[in-house]
Amino acid sequence: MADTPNPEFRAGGSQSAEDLARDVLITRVVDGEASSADWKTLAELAAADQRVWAELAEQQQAHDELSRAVEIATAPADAVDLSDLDDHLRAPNSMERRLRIVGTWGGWAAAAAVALLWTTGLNPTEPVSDDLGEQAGLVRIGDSPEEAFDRYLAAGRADGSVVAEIPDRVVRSVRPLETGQLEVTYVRQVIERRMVDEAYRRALDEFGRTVELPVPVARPAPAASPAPGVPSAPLPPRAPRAF
Amino acid sequence: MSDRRRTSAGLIADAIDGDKDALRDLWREHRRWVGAIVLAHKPREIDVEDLVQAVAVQMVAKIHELREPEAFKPWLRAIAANTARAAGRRTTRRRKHRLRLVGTARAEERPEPAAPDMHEASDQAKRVMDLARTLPEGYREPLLMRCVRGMSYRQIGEVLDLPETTVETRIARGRRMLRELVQQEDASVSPAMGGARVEA
Repeated sequence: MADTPNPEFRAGGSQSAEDLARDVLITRVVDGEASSADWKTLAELAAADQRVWAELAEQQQAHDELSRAVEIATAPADAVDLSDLDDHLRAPNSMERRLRIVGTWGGWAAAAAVALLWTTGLNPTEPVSDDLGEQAGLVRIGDSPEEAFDRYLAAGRADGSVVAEIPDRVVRSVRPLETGQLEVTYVRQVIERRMVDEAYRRALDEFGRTVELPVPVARPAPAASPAPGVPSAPLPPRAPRAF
Repeated sequence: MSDRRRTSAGLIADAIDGDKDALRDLWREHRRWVGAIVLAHKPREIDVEDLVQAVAVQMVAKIHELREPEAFKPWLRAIAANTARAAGRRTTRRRKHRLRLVGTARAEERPEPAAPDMHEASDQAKRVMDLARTLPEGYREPLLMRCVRGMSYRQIGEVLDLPETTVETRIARGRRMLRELVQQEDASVSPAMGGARVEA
């Protein structure tokens, strides 16, 4: 390997051919692919420029760290086995296969927090145009905030999107004012209801960071008998990954 | 076991012919680097395991369509990359219309165990890995594969359908890019720290 001329040296780019040759040499050493000729060249380079050794040490450390992280991140692949291959091959259609995969997500109920897909077509994070509420008859010009809020509750109860307001208001802070009054900030809690197609659960990625994962929703079995082999709700708890 | 099974090519040929034992062995032999390819392309939100499982399903379902055994590795690599990319596209689409609810823990729920080993990697290793995943595709794939149980340049070349010399150069260039990314990140942090320094 090491004595093979490398056509990529002529590949251009911002890196000079000399720099690239040096990087390739160090890469060969780091990867244990260096020949005796490579070691000799490395020694000559280092005799002229002592920084080569530091660079080599730095590259070796970076490679070790990256290898460790990749090894850990890809370890779950070893849990994916074809031990139940016969069952998988008998699955008559892709939906059944999909359900088998979905079944492995059965532990989703463990989520402590979920993000739900908004299905009404209105993105709640986008600013609402000023006249939207007016058009819907929800907010009238001249309404006080309290009146507007009451109107929202009433409209929500009417269309089913508001279940109730929790009577208790959660106090966040109390601050005395120069006027002798107290400024109280508090949270009003409203129970809302939305119909969603998909849900996401909070989980940790391979590095322990919080991410949102799609949650398969166990749907009630249809009134008619399901296709053979297709599990009806609820799905089983998380099981070892196998087909 | 057939005689030709003794070689990797024989194993692939048997799997294509429908030999289930060969298929299982073949998958075990290659699943780890499939994980590296998935890792190179997946969005953060999706588990490696789930995507690798999806790749396995596709391999089982479609391997009989493969005509040339020597095309198996690039074929499997393409499935892995496409599966991870498709998951990324779906995730991006779904993020656009999402209502976030928090703090809805239920008393009967049990915490799902996080992958425990992931915490064993040092912060620096996680950082290097994150940065490696931002490299251009042509560099991050060989770089990550090289980290999977010391895959040789030749083995990586077989998967990526590239000459060994190209693999070698891409790894070398990828490492330089990675080093520069780390240095850039360090430089972006150090001014704030340096601001508190009193000059003599």
